Amino acid sequence: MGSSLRRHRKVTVAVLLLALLLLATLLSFLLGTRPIAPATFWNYLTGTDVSGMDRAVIDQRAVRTLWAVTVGASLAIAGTGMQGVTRNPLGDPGILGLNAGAAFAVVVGIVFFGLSSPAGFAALAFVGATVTAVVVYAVAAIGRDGATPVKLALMGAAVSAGLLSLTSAFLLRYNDALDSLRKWRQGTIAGANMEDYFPGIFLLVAGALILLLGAQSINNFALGDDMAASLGENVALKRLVMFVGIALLAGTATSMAGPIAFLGLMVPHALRALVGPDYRLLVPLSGILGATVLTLSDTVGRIVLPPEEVPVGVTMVVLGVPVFIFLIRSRKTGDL
Amino acid sequence: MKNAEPRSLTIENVRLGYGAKTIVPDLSLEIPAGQVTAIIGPNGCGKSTLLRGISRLLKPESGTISLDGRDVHSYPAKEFARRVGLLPQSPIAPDGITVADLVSRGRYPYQGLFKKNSREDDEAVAWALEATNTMALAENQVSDLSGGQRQRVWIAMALAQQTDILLLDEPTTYLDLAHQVDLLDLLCELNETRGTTMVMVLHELNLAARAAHHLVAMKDGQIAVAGSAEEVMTGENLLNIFGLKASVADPLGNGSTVVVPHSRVAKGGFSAETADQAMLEDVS
Repeated sequence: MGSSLRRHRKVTVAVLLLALLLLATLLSFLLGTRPIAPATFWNYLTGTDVSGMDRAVIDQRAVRTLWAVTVGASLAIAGTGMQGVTRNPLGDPGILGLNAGAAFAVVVGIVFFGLSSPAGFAALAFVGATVTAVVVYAVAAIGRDGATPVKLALMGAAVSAGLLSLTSAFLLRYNDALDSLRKWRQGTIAGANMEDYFPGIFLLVAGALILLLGAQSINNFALGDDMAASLGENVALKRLVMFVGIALLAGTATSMAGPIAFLGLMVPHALRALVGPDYRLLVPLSGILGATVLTLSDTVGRIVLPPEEVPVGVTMVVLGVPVFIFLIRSRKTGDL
Repeated sequence: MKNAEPRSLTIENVRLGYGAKTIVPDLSLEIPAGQVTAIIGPNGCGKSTLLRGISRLLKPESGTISLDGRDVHSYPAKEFARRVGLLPQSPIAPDGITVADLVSRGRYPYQGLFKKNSREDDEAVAWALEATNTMALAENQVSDLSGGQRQRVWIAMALAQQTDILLLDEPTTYLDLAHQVDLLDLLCELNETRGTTMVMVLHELNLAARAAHHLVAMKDGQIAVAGSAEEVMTGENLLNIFGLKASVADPLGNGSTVVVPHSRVAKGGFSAETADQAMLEDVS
């Protein structure tokens, strides 16, 4: 059987993706408004002879890289989970209304509570995303079949549309809010710091573990609910658990970096073209690829328009779209 | 490969439906262990609903369905899945999946969070591919297969699950006649060699009569008649159950009945008159 060949290919892809992530991380340390020479970085790592200025820059970039890796991995895993759980090839945290819910909560905070700190935005974004997730799931679960993929996607789209128009209405009425919101909405990790990293990372690890351990259940969902149930899967319960994992990942990542679109959609599709439809591979590998893509995009955003920085949400889409189109055009990509 | 154990499957005064809509009001049935049972009946008579009830996809509003004397809903999900398997009417194959990978997903009930692919799993998958004659396709993508091959692969997945009872909802739909016969032969062989109890919903009466030891004909959510092909396949029964005028013949003279439906349009001697004539002779 040729399965050893296929296994070989999957291992190769995994190793290559890890190597790419290492490279992206390294570039993220070296590149920026003040470039760091590889020799200087080596000295920093080995703990010898680095100027205070360089040390400060590298320290700051370390935090920022950690954020990029964390947020990128989380959004990509959330997107992969979303596509599996809703059996929808356009699945993305945005489809459940999470981004819209986060943005709405932030606008409400700005307009009614005069909110202006990034930490406040993050907290409200998390609350907005999770409340929206709960509402979408609860309403979709009404009726005899429970929360089916189609009902989840429809509810998400409906709630999303409603919240977006409410957000727009507020923004028209309150111009100041628009200014504060604009930056957050583009998606940026420029303000990365360790204090804001810690509460979030625990939620992200919990969410990622749920999806990693549940990957086989997502495989079962892909065969249809009837088949999944006849294989001994508790479909309703597992779907709810996976949904909690996705909401934790997407809600927390959005609160840390603003609504970053497209990553969660693109990464799983790109990977399916490379390794096939097994979620036991797709979930972990999407974490690696998502981290790589976001880290690279953030690095590029730092150097394209000096001295300005382009938010990572913008560079990621500008860079990602052509690559994505190339991948989709050149390979037979599966729906799910 | 391990043989299937004969398990008793008993349906007692079961009421099945969707919300306010009752499909099966009160049905009792004993599924013979180790045999092939075919459920036939007109569209909407509750065949598939009954199968959904047996496979736990639909919980009865009243009555019980029991496996080895124990309510099917009292089994842990995976334990039940090791005893009873289901091939739904239109299962979904994830795009890009290979035959071997799809078949190996049938092993899920034997795997746990920390108990992954074992040697036993590999052997079961290899046996299932062998038994369905799909080993040569193992590395092909399911989406590239023909309809007949694809259905064999789904059967292989159900076999990899190694259940004692296999439920099949219209397994021959969308297949041409040759492939329908081929598929049912495969299922009958598996029943003979492994002793798997099969319960299948079938539309094609001649094939149902050929394949099944036991026929269950349903109408309006109730069992109209059950028994051997000879007992069930009579002109009278077909008229009563399907509202179909038909003659039942035994061309080989060995009890293998053949249903010949009458046509409103005269063709090949089966005009309304000749057909009525033929049926009268048959019934008498």
